Amino acid sequence: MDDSVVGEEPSLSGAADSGRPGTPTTFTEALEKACPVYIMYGMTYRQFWYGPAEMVTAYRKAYELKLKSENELAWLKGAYTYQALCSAAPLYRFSMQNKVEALPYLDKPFELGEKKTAREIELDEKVKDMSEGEANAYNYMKMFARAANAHKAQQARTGQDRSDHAGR
Amino acid sequence: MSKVISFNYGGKDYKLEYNRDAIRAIEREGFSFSEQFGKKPFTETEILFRNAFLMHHSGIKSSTVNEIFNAFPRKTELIEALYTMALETANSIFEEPAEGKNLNWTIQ
Repeated sequence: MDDSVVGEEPSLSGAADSGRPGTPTTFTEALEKACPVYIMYGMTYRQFWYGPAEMVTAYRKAYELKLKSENELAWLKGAYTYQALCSAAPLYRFSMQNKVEALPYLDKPFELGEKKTAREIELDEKVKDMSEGEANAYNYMKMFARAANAHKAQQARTGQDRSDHAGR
Repeated sequence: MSKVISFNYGGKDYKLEYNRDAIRAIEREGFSFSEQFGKKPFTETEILFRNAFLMHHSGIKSSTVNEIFNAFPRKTELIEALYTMALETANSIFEEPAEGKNLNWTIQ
C-alpha cells in the first residue's frame, strides 16, 4: 500500500477508474488470480474450485511450514559446509616447518530435535577443558547421579504402589 | 470449518454449502458482492439460494429448488445466513493477519 491519504484525489499514476491497477474488482477475478498460487501450494485445480472453502487454509499453512523447513535445511547444509571448510582450513595455511594436517570432519551429524539446556551446555564445556582423569571422574559422577536418580524414582513408584495396595 | 445448512425435504437430505466455483457462478449471474445487498432482493435471493445447491446437488431441477425455497420458514434469516456463507467462502483465500499483528475492532 502506498502513502496516499484516504479521501485525497488519486494521483494520475496511481489508482485507475475502477480501483488500483491489478487490484481485482470481483471475487471471481481474485479467485482466478489466486488459483495458480494455490496450485503452487500443492492443491489441485479441482480441490481449489470444487473443494470445501476452508481447504485453502490448510494448504496455505502447510506451504508456510514447508518453506520454514526448507529454510532450516538450507541453513543446516550451510553449517555442514562451513564445518567442512573449517576442518580443511589448516591445509591451506602454508608452513615450511610444521607438517599441517586437516582436522577430522564431524564424526556424527549435528544433533537435531531437543536442545540441551544452558546448564548442560555449560557442563559439557567444562568437561572439554578438563584433563582426561578429571573428565573420567566427572563422567563417572554423572553416571552415578543418573543411577541414583533412577533408583530414587523407582523407589518412589514402588512406595506409591504399596500405598495404593494398602489403601485397597 | 465452513458453514452448512442441512435439511430434509421430501424424504431426501440436502446440504447447502458454497465452494469457490459457486462464488464464480453467483457473480457470473450478475450478483455483486460490492453492491449493497438487498438492492434487488428477489433476484439476489434467487441467485444465492440456487447456487447453494451447486456443491452437493448440482443436478437438481430449478422447479425443485423453487419448491424447497417456498417451504423454507424464516426466510430473512435464511438469506442473511446464505449471504454470510458466500462471503466467508469468497474471503477464504485471503490470509488472516498473524497473531500479534491484528487489531481489535468493534461494531457500535
